[in-house]
Amino acid sequence: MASIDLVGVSKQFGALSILDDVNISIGDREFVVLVGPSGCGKSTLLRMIAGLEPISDGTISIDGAIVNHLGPQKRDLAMVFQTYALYPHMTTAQNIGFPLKLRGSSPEQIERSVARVASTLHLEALLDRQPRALSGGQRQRVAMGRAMVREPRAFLFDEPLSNLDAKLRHHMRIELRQLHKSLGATSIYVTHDQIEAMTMADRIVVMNRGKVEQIGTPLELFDRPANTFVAGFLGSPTINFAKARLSAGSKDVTFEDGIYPLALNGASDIAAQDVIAGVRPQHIEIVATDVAPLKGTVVLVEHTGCETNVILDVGNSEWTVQTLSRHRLNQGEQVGLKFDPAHLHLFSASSQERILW
Amino acid sequence: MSKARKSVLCWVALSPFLIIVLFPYLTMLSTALKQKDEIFTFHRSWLPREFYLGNFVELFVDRNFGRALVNSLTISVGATLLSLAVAIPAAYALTRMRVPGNSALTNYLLITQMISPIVLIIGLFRMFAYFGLINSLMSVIIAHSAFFMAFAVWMLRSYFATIPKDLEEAAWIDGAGRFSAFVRIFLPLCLPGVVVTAIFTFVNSWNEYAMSLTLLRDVSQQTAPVQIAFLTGTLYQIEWHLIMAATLIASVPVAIVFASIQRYLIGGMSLGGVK
Ligand SMILES: Nc1ncnc2c1ncn2[C@@H]1O[C@H](COP(=O)(O)OP(=O)(O)OP(=O)(O)O)[C@@H](O)[C@H]1O
Ligand SMILES: [Mg+2]
Repeated sequence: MASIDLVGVSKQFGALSILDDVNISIGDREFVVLVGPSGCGKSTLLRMIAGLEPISDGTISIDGAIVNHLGPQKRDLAMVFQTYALYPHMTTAQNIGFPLKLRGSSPEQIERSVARVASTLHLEALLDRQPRALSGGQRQRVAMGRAMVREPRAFLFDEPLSNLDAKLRHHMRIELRQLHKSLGATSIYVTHDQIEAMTMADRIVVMNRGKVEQIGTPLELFDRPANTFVAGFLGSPTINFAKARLSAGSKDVTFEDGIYPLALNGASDIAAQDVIAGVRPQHIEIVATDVAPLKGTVVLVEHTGCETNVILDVGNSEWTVQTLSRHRLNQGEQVGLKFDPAHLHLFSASSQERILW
Repeated sequence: MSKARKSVLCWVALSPFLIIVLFPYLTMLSTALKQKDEIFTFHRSWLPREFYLGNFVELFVDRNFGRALVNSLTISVGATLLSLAVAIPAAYALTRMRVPGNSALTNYLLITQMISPIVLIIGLFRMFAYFGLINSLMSVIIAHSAFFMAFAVWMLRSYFATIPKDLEEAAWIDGAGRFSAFVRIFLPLCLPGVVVTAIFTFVNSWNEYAMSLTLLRDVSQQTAPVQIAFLTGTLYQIEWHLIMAATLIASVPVAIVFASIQRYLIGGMSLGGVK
């Protein structure tokens, strides 16, 4: 098991900059999830760690030793590809045993290890089949098996669950977490599914356009997003934003369109400025109009069964409120909105960075 | 529509093509089994007077056709092996590695195929004469593999490009070196492509005439197509009974070879290793 450090890692394809000054330090036994929108460079970064993609600038080290020029064979990492990449001409058993065969293990030894892995992944009945005769979920488990059969210094996963149905995905998520617990293996896991990120990670790295936006535990990122991108990326439904003005000494926030000011007891050394205010849908309560600082007009009510999502016009923005109570609301009705100021996120309108108050 | 009726209809629709394809073979067979005096009769008959194998005997015993077949086989197998030995690594490099001028090189390969070998024949002759290789089967093996290699590279390259790079990368991460991943993962997967390319090279080499005629001056070195051609023009008469017997025999290896690769030509291998 190992720690992995990325220092100032950059990647260019020709003139195109894909990754820019990425710094991530991953501790031994840590489970780190890389998230970000499609095309932000997650797979590229993972491939660079694996040694499949040359590094344009910066250093990658494993256990303190720089591996920039070490081939993928010598890094002793295991990777589960987005495409599974099973060897089509080999059976499940041969696929899983391949890394051991390369290391010159004896046939009995290979058979024992394959049997052990197959029983963890419930693949015993499929050992003699070729990949083409397996379902997507089964292929995915074989790909995991091939990674698990040896004890690599770290596991790299590239969206391994993206092709599974919701139920199997949930099952595999739990299975992966347990696997991580029992092996204690350093893992880097790429996904753009935020639920996967939130539930599986020790720490999450949020990336956007080749840059790291924020690194932290799932709850840190959820509760104190560093900028509007992170705030908007994590959480479902997405956080509500509105333009607002923060008064000097951060005493209160005034929303546009003459919406009521919100009294805060903030730090006194922050200058008055234009801000973007954010509140998560789960943190807003629908109340009577006369006791509420904020008002909105109902546009749509969605019942998902468990929660109810109310979509409202608040000033110039569209907000979503998520509640557990089944409000009887009509379109066009005015309602009051209330939230604890502790759940208000303020970001500078100019830099989009979080303002601490 | 029932399955039987469907297949009868298919056969009816295909029968004109079948007749066109089979006609030369039937003529060949029918003539090869006839005696010399039986060929130019006024009342033509498909069936020979008797089942006569004398033409084949004459061919092998008097005309030494067996020697020509062995020569042809040596050359075709040699040319196939040599051109694959060069074309496989070349095609691998063109699809998998960063080669400067990759696309220019590929186009150049195609352009060489537009030149007929007959244009190059004098140059080739002088070159092989310089190396003292005239009348050596080796010269034709080299010439054939050089000439058919471009096609082989072209064909292998397009086949290699269909094999996902992920598979080799997975092998590297599993600990395989570049060569080991090539041999254990890549080659088994592109075997159908290699086989088809090998067959095409073999058939092309087997049928090639101009270079073999020019580079092999000695009768004992002649290849089958060259010897068949000699049967038409060396004497005052054209010996159709022998020519047909010889072409029949010469087309057998090609027919066997094509029948054996049908499976690769039709099916292609469904991979299923990546989603
Ligand atoms: N070989 C290449 N040449 C040029 N650009 C490339 C190359 N490979 C990837 N890119 C670009 O790099 C960017 C990042 O790609 P990458 O595959 O890392 O994205 P990703 O974050 O994994 O996206 P996804 O979530 O869709 O898998 C993309 O804009 C892509 O177009
Ligand atoms: Mg990706």
